[in-house]
Amino acid sequence: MKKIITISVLLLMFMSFSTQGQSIEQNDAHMWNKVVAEAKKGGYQLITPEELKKVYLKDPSSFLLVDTRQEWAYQMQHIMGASHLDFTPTWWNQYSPITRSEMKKLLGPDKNKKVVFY
Amino acid sequence: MRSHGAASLAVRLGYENIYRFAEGLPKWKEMGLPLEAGSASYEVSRGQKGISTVVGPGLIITLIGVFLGGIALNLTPCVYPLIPITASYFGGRSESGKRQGYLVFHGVLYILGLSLMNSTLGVTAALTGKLMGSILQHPAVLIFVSSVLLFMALNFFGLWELRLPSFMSSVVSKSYTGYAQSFFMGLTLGIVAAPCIGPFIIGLLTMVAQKGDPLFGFLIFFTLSIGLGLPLLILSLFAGNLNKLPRSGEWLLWIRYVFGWIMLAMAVYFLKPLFPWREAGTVILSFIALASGIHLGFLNKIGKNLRVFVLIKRFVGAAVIGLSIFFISSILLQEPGVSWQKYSSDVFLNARASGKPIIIDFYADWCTPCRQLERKTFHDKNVVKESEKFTMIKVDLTKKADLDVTELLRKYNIQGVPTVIFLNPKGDELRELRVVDYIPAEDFLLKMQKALKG
Repeated sequence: MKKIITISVLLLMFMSFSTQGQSIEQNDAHMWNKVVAEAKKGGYQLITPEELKKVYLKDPSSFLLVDTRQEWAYQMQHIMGASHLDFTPTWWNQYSPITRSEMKKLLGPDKNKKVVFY
Repeated sequence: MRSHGAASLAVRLGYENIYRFAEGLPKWKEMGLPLEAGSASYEVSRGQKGISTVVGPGLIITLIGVFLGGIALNLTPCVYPLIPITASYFGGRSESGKRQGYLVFHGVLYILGLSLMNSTLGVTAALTGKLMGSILQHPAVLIFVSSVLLFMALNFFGLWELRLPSFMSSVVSKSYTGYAQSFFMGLTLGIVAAPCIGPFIIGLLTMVAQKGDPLFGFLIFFTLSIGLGLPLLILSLFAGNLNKLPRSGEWLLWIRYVFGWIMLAMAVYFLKPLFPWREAGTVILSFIALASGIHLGFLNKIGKNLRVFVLIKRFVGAAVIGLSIFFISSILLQEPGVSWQKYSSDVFLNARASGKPIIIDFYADWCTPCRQLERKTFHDKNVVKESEKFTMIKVDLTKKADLDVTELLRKYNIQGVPTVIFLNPKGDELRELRVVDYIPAEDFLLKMQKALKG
């Protein structure tokens, strides 16, 4: 019994050391996996910076770009031509009829329109 | 986080071509692509927006809360005894053989009178805005309000009896005739009930004064009045059923105790900003809650014969005890954190005058890394110790930033939350130390040491 405890304590210590030694790259990869999982759950697609740059430089009016940060952040600086929708990530906001109607108003009646959120 | 929520909502609304640019603005900037700033008329348009800035789910929830609060205030000892008086007043009208519609009209006038009284208060608070807010936060005012509350609490515990001045109760019980009188009666209820609902009103006034929007002030106090007046109105319309109203007997004594404890807690709550140790107020409040649970649930002999009432008593008592134990343990188990000062232009000026380097943390309640920073990094023993060499300032960006804060955000070019910046005593930022995500305590400590070296 004692042995098992000692081994598991050692194992735990090893594990905590190894997580501390995690490199920044690994951390980034972890973050990115989270983003991908979120996108899958949310049913939308991810756009890479390069891709966005390409369509943006070709024709910025071919899609709607929406800044979802707080108003002060938008006022300070945003991607040129981006619209603004302050979207506080709360449970309530996901279901609030007010947020829904705001979004519908911003996105318009065309359900096929390309929309990019950031 | 934000764009994820927005994108998935758009998908649920039936839009089919939804993308999320997860790297967002920082990456865009890094790639040297075109950016623009908001219109120069930002401040102006903000000022003109008025009510639209507070309309939203928050407002609706607030109003519902205020409405329920208004209804609950009917149980306070200043209002409850008035119910039979008001009811009989309206009842008297119905006996005189008039139609029901006529009675409703009187009732509506009555509520309007009450609303006018309260709404005037609300609008005044909003218009005087910051002035009222700062007056209500002055230590002398806090101590005064707190002692009034303490006095009232002792009254509720039966140490002495506070009576309505006789001229007031006679005004209320006087029999009126005509529509003007129904209106006037509503007005007077506002005054008579003031001692009991005062603390609640002061809380609301502070809130309204901070928002500084007259329409918001009006809405809040109008809703409160409707909540306050509605039960009275409904009861009055069915004056025949008045005898079904629970008699103001023994159980009302228990309600008085409940309000006594609430008043006591509020007395402490108002003093909270004055305590030297930040958590002191919270700890005292939790112990008051614990004591109230024991007293209300188990240590009184009120209503021994009413089985249901005893059950309610025990249940309420146990629930309060449980909650307070939970709070006490969570406070005591947590190690003390960094002691922050809330940002204001005065605090910032004082900080610069003190000659210490400054750390400013920009955060929002909904931001997960911000909470992590606070819970872990800013509660780390070494970080807390080292933080004494700095002036630590927190800026809450959960809600709309006011003008002072907007200036600060511009000055240091803050892009999002969390952002922690290190300033030398002159107020210049040490740019390379800026933190924009969660970082563990050891890393933060290194940054602090670098900042101290200048």
